[in-house]
Amino acid sequence: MTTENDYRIKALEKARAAAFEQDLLFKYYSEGESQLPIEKEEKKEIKYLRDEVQNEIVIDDYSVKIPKDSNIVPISDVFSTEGKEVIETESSDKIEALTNAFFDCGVLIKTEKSSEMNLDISVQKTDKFNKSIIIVSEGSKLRLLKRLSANPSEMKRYYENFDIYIKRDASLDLKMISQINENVLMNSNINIYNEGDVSITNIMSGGKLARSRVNVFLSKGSKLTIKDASFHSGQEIEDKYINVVHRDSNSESRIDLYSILNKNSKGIIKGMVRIKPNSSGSKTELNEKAVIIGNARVNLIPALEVGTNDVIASHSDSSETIDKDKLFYLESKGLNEREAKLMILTGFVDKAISDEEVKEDAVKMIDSILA
Amino acid sequence: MQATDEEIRLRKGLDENIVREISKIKNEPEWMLDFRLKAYKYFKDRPMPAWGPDLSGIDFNSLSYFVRETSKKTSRWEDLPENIRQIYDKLGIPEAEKKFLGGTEAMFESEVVYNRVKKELEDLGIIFCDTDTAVQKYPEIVKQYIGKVVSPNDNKFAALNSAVWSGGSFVFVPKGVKVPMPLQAYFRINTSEMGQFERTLIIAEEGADVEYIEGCSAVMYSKASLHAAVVEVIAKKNAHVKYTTLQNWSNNVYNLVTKRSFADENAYVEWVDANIGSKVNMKYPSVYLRGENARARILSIALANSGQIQDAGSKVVHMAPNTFSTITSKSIALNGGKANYRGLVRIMKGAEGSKSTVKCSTLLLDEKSTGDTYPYTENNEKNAVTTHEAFVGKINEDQLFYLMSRGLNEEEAINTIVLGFINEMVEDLPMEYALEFNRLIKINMEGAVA
Repeated sequence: MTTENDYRIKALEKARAAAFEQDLLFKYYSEGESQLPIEKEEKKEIKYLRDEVQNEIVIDDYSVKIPKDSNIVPISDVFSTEGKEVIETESSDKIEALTNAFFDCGVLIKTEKSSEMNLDISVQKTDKFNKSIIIVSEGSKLRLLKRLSANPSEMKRYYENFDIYIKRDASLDLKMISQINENVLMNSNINIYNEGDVSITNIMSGGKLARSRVNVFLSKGSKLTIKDASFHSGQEIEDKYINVVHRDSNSESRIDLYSILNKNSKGIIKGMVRIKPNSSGSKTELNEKAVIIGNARVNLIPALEVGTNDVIASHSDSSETIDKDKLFYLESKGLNEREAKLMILTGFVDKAISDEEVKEDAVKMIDSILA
Repeated sequence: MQATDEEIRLRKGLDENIVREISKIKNEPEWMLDFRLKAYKYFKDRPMPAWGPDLSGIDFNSLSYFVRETSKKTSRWEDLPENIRQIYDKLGIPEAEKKFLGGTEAMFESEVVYNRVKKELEDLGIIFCDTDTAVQKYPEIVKQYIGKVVSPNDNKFAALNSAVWSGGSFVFVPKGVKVPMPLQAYFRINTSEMGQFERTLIIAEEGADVEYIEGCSAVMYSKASLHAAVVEVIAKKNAHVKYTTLQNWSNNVYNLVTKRSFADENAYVEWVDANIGSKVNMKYPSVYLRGENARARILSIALANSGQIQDAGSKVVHMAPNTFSTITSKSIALNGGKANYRGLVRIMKGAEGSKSTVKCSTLLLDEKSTGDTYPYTENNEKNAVTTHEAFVGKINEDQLFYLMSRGLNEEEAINTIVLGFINEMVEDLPMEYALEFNRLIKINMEGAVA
């Protein structure tokens, strides 16, 4: 059995050994190695003291319907609960391993079998290495809204690992709203078991460097929908990589990645769908769309690796700027330039972000990057 | 080195002395030797590419880097692999041509045709010869352009080619001249050695127009396992260059070719690239749109049969305002073959009003076959539009059902659908090529229906 100390040491060794960008396909499409104090962190020693680990996640008691005997425990309990069985991940990402070595806050959430759970989480104090594990048990449903407003002060960076397990016939509706400053480094591993169903709506704005890595593994008959929109301005850099692996037959995925980039910001949007040879009957659609304004730049890479023929696999990408004719039309109707742009851009992300709960924040984010 | 007056075969392996010897045999000027030596150093220093298909099967020490034979009679007809002889028969290739293609006999008849064509071209001021001759006869032009589009240090195999190149075509079209017929390497194939490391250089001066076709649809049997060519194309202001390739190397060949072109103001460059043969094929024809209103069109077709990896694609760099590019890629994989698309579209800052469209589709004919797609788009200019779409999947069952309900058997129905799939390519070929190409696809499809 893995002890906590062993786990952390192993993770640190992995972090030290791994290259910053593991995938050769994206070697030239990776940002941040020079601006992150990774070496400094790698040199840290693991002096794990149980008492020092605190649950830093603030759970909003008013809006969350947490059952009396709550299934939410601090991540520090992970090694004494079922969490220890799932704490190992296949990912070999350097930053993820680093976070696994030093995590000091986060939660472990596990739903009861065949139950329904509705949860709002807000993360605020973030000078930390955050690791959270979510287990959606067989036949259960979880709706989770996570708000992250990270304003790191001392560390100038925020690390977060999310490991998610969707058991047989379970479903997860995950909504994430992140408004951040400084560097933010997020990793997610999502394992969907047979017939599992996951829908993710993610919006993000800000982040000096916003680096995210999402790995999703789909089993037989499982389903994944990702709707993702990010908004950047100034000198911000977004480096996003979503890797979806269809491991078994009749699995479905649909991934829409939208970006709006203003001023001198840069977006690197990497999508990869891998359909393994035994995944016949699977379907996938990967779309990447970007609007660039000002001196912004974007790299779009929607890659596909298809290992068998009985599949429907398609991908697309497009990059453009705000249509002048549309702008002119709206301005002629009395809107000022910013209002008109906001309206056009809201329309642009509307296909991806139709969820009312998230949409309001998305509009605010678009408005803020137009400033 | 064994050498007679005419027949030369250098020892296997590569070192600086071999490079010097090649240059000496060819009696090249000093600058060309320098070019080769520098390239050899780059080749030595560069690691093997770590991305893409596995190239570990290439043993640089087992290859001969320079061979010149007195006649094309390199092997006996009986020594050719049985399957290749059969394919020649099925393609309906005339007896004389068959022997030539199999490397057993030179195609002397073409000499007559070639000389007639040559006269016509010379009258228009067009230079069309092999690149070795060009180095001797037109050193100033070659020196000015060689290595300018594909730098000797561009990649390991471009470096290798630059160090040991032999043969290839040299085309120079003067200002305003339209070449009246497609130039075919085929015409002059026996006037120089058909090498593994040929170097082709095409220069279309302002307003010139030229179409060049290389390769042929029948299997080119090569005993050597590596073919590393470099093709450089320069299309100056208002020029148009169309470069068509039909690649059908035998299945023991690593075909690693660097093809690139520059398109100046208002120029139009077209690459039409069909890849049928070889063991591993890595080829990404590219266009650098350097002048305003320059255009690029790239059409690439790949068929990967059992044991083959076709890693094809294309690259376009938009460097000037109002430049346009269209990339179409169609791949077919069957019997466990692997058909990949790997492409790049880069829009540089300032290339306002540029547009790029990429479409790629892959047809996987059975469950063992695979296809990967890696499209890279880099847009650094807000007033530019890029779009890309791709599809990977199997033959549409409704189409199959429809055709079979009309009386076609399954194999015929699949053939019809596949030929429809690549129709865009076929329409682009001269008729004799198109016919052969269609037959070739059909031959490859044999046994596709389990």
